[in-house]
Amino acid sequence: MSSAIKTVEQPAMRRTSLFLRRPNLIIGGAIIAILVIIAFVSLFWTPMPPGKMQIIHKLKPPLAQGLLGTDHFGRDVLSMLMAGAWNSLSIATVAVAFGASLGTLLGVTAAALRGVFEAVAMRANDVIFAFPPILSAMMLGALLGTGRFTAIIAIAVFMVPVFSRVTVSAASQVWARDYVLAARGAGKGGVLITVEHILPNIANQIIVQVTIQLGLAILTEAGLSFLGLGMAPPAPTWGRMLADAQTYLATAPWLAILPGLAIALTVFGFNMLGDGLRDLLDPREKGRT
Amino acid sequence: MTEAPLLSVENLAISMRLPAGGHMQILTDVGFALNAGETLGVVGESGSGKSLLSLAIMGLLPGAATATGRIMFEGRNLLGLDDEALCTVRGKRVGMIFQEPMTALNPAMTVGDQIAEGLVWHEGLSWKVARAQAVELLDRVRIADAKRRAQTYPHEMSGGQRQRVGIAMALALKPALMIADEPTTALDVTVQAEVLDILDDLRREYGMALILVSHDLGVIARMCARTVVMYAGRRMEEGPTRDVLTRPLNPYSRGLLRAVPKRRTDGGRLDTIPGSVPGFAKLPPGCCFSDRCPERIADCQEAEPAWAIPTVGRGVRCIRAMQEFAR
Amino acid sequence: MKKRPLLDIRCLTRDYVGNSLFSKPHVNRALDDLTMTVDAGTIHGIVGESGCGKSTLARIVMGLDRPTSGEVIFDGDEVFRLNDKELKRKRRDFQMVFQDPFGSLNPRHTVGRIVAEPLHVLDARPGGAETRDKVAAMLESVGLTAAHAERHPHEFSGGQRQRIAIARALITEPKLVVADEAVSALDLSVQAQVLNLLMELREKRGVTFLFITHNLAVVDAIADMVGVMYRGRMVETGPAQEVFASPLHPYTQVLAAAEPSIEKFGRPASQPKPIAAIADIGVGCSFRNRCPIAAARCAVEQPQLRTLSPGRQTACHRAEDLLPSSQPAEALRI
Repeated sequence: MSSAIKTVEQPAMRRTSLFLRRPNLIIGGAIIAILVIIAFVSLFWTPMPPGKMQIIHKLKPPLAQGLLGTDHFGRDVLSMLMAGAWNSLSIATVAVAFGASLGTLLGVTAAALRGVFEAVAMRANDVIFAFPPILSAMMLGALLGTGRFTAIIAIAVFMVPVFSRVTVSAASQVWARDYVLAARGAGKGGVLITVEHILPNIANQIIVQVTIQLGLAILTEAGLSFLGLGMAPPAPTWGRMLADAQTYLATAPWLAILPGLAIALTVFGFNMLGDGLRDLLDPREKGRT
Repeated sequence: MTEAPLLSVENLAISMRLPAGGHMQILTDVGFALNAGETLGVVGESGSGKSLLSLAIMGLLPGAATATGRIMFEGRNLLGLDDEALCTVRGKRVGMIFQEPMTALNPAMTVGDQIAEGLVWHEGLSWKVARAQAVELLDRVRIADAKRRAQTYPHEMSGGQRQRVGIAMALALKPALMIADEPTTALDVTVQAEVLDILDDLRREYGMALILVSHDLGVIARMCARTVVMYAGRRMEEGPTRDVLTRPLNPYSRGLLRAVPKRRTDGGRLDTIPGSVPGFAKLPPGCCFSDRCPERIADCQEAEPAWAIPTVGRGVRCIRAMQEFAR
Repeated sequence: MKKRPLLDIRCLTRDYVGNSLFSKPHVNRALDDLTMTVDAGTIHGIVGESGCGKSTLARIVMGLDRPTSGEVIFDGDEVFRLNDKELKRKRRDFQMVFQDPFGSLNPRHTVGRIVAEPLHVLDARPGGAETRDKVAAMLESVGLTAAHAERHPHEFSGGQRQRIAIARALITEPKLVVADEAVSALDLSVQAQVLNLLMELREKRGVTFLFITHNLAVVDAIADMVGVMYRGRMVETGPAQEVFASPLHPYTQVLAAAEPSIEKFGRPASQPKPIAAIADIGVGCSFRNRCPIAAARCAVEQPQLRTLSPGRQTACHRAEDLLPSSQPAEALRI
């Protein structure tokens, strides 16, 4: 009985010490975790309501008024950053979720069907890749108007080819494996094989891509709102905070530095997390030691 | 006066640092000597440590490995050399041929350039001269139309041709010692025969010593004058190949030879060694083979038998074998 | 009356067409008019080197690839004339074991799930408990234990993984198992254990094996009948013992002479003819540029597989010269 407990405990213990030797994972994970907490908290509480304008306190430096100062309308920068965190993260997450699902679906289908379907899907990818996301966002903005929804769609559209490309390549490699041949010999068709064999074996690569693309999505969203294409005012977003801060660079530099830092930190966090996950998941994926 | 051997491995032991901490002993008490122009076969199954041995002689041990003992090559202890000194030995004095011809060659360089690279790097030749020598070498390894073939890329060649390119690369610098780690395992039977012939011819011509690591006893019988049998990181038996394969002293060698597939006229089963090769962390007490040995006695699990020399030129690690000999 | 063979292959041809942008489509004939039969309850070996088409043959027999022309009659049914549903049902009777013990098992699945996978083809798929029992029984019959069903492939050695692959191939109680280089990646002692297992399965369960390999010694040890393939054609067939004791085709002789054995020490006295580049041979025998006894006829007429003596077939114009009675032994040296 006691030996059974020992064998169950050992792998967990070994994994913990592995953890400590993966700084990327820890640092990235910590940064993102903190940001996510801040984003959720901002739904219930911020030091000041982010939209509340107090003109008499405008352009106050950090610590003079509020922890991080105020902007040109007297709004509390910290509260705006917190609310912005929610907006950025939620838009990025939804966009990536949407893009990843559709892209992966396209990818595994293309890998399973091959032939004409794969060729058409890959060329469609190339077409979408040819458009910079900002451009597609502008076109979508003209069609749908600005707002959260447009931002999500614009980013998601760009995510689809990224994921379908990664998925097709990974899935094709799995299709070539002998165990898939064995599954075909067991009379299983493309759908069953995709669900039972392909997806579980490409999951790791997709997870890593998700974290990397989340970082890019944050950046794209910031770019969109910088250009006025994302969420409409007065919703606080990091991108628009940057745009508004341009006029005050000389007099109130913190208005630009702080949202810029927030964006950089988030992207950095996601990249670290993606790196760490890749290291953690991939070597074991190889199967043989 | 007897010359010092070209290569003398003495009391070699290698352990690997584990990712979770701690050490695992892989090679224990390995030793042998090789004179210039001699051939030695290293026989072992997976988990015998034979590949780690060839890496150690090449100075290519992974960072997590700690080695004790000596590897005396041309008067210098390879284990004591720093990386810079090793670079002068590796490739130039000791050449290596790997198992997988596809992964041993750079897919982005032409075959001729890969051979020439070693010459440019080690002997300071100009690329023009080096490339010309590369073509000669390709001819030597019997690649037809060598001049044109030197411009091709590895993926355009068959497995047998790639392995011959691998041999040409290893030979370019005329090393004194060649280590071939399973050089023909991935090749067809007829291609294997040709590659082995080429290796043998060139070895004689250049006067090289050869260490051939393989699990295929037939290949060893064909190529090597002497053989050492390894199991669980230890040498179990050594001697002239003919003796080891026809009159094996160690029960493991005997078991291995019985397991070689051959027709049984009585329609019976093939002889097998019961059980499977233990991991290095789970070796039985005493002799490493004792849990699977059909001739085990109580003493076998008391302590690990020492390497013994029953007669000149023969070595064995087995209590029972020495008892038999004493008789 | 002779019993109907379990597997009857007739004039099987498989062409692969490679399309290139700048030249005519290039046709690679992987199987060329192959005809052979396999009797039930035997181990039938197929030997050949890379490019001989043996893996293509394996895939076609398993219904995983369609031939360009020809028939595969398994247990009385023409495999490629069955509709999808019938084919799926038929799959319970033939299964395959692959070469690479590391690539043939899904690393994400438990052993139990892997072994149970072929049960998918059964009309009446067994329930959870029954599946578990079947898997346990299967694992035990290949020398593993029921507890192993909970583990993942990476916890097992190469030899054990091949046993798992064999258990998977046997769970539907098939009549035919195609083993494509199933022991090539295994150590010597493990290989012997797995070969013994195959022989036992033939005796105890009457399983027929189509054993594909490049290793002549293995075929000699366990096979009843053997077929030698070269460049997509069957060049010699016969009882395994007889074929290797006295080959009736020069290619079989070349193979036997080239294979190293622990009974041959040092450099062989005879030098095999160097292998020329694989070029399009065109008309005539595809082996003639390597053949030590090639004659003028070999360049114009492709030899067909013909019966030379009872049970022995060969595709060689000069096979009569190779019969042991007709020539003194020295003249046969290549």
